[in-house]
Amino acid sequence: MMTQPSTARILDVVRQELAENVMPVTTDVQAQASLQMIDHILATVAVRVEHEIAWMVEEGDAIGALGDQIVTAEPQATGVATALAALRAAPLTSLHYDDVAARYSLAGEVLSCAFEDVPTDAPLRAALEAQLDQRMQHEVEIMGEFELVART
Amino acid sequence: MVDLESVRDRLGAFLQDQHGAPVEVADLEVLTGGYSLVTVAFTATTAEGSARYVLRTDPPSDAALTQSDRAQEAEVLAALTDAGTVPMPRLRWSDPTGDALGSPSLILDFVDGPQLLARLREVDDAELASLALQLAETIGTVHVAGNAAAPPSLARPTTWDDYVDGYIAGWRAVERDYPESDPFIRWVADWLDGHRPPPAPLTLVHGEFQTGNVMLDSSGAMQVIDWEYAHIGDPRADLGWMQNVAAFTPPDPMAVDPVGFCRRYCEVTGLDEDIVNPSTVAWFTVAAGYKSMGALLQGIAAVATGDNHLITSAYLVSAMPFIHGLWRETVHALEADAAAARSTVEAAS
Repeated sequence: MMTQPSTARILDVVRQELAENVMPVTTDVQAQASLQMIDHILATVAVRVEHEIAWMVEEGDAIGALGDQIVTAEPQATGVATALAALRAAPLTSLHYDDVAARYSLAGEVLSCAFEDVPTDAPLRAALEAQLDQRMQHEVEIMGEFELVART
Repeated sequence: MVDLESVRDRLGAFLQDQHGAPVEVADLEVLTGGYSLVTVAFTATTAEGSARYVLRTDPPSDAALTQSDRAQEAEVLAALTDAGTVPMPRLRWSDPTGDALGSPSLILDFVDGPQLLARLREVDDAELASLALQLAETIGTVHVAGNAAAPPSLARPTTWDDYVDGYIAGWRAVERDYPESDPFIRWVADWLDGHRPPPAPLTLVHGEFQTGNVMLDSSGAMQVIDWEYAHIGDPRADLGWMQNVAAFTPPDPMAVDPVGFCRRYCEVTGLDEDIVNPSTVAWFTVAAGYKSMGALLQGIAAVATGDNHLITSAYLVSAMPFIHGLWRETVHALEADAAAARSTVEAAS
């Protein structure tokens, strides 16, 4: 399997080709808008292929650990306990995308339940907010600059 | 791509049926600016003369970014056209079933002026401030006149609390229906539930009010278009959604002078500034749009399952992180304001 050039680098080349040789000769406004969208999508995909698997695994592990702390400190957090049990019942069996993404969704459910179960004045609330900010940081890194195209 | 030849032929036949005499359809132009429906401007000429109109029609079902009900939109627009009190282009004809025009369609007067969003991007600060106040008056007029003009078929929430419960439940349902968990939605639904603003009288709400859905006609008056999400609800939902969309597509006219904008809106509507102010509008900036964003997420989910091949849906995957960030910023700012207000009260006592 060839790993060089990397997928991200190939996507960069595709974007450059579209920008320099396709966009300038495209006159249809709908097609121009599509090309702008495609360029943005390719930019996001380039970041995803570089980091997505690692970020999902890292976030999932951190949320699992946080879930353990919540279940110990907040006995009323039954939603978290149930979601955490589902996460623990689905150990990471491979680094193939579907396996990692399925487990990441289960971790997301733990985090969702935590916001519903953990009181806003509980000591663990700050850690919950930090975990959501971590997820936000990754999302923003993937999204990059974003402003809706073709709106005027 | 839109097959304009087919659209012209169908329009010609449809309008001839409506008019009872030959109608020539010409000068068709696909209008960009919206993501959900196909919009085509055209000129219809009869023995009496020519007029320009806009066709709003559903795209083919496998190419639909969002789903909305053209029959209900036709009913709303017909009622508002009859009332004549809401600033909007008149509805001329409709084909809610799509039997004649190929897909459910509306035909409205063409507004011969720029979209407000485009205009806001080219004016200086003074003009921007002036247009912002005009916009406050326009949406205030919609909310004052709309209550009486809305068709009886529009569902009316029993109470304001029921209505707001629907918002919060709506967001939770959007999250539940998506193929993976979204902790931002669950977090924000919980926050909304615990930080409700004081209630406002329910009235006709446009449902997707934004500067891209306002046209300036040749007299400079504002005309509100695209009523597919109109419903009876809290009028601040329109102001909040406008700010939400402006974050994606600046400028935000309300941000020029948020207090002044709300004050002018209150002058037009008679609502108290305790009810309509930048903080209560900000709550709706977060809350509003579960229908629009929910529809958008349905489209994105359909991409995930292979039921949708729209490039726009794939592109709008990035709208969710953007809106997550907007929610975080807005909630943090509101909580900081509330903490500062509590400190002031404590210091005074």
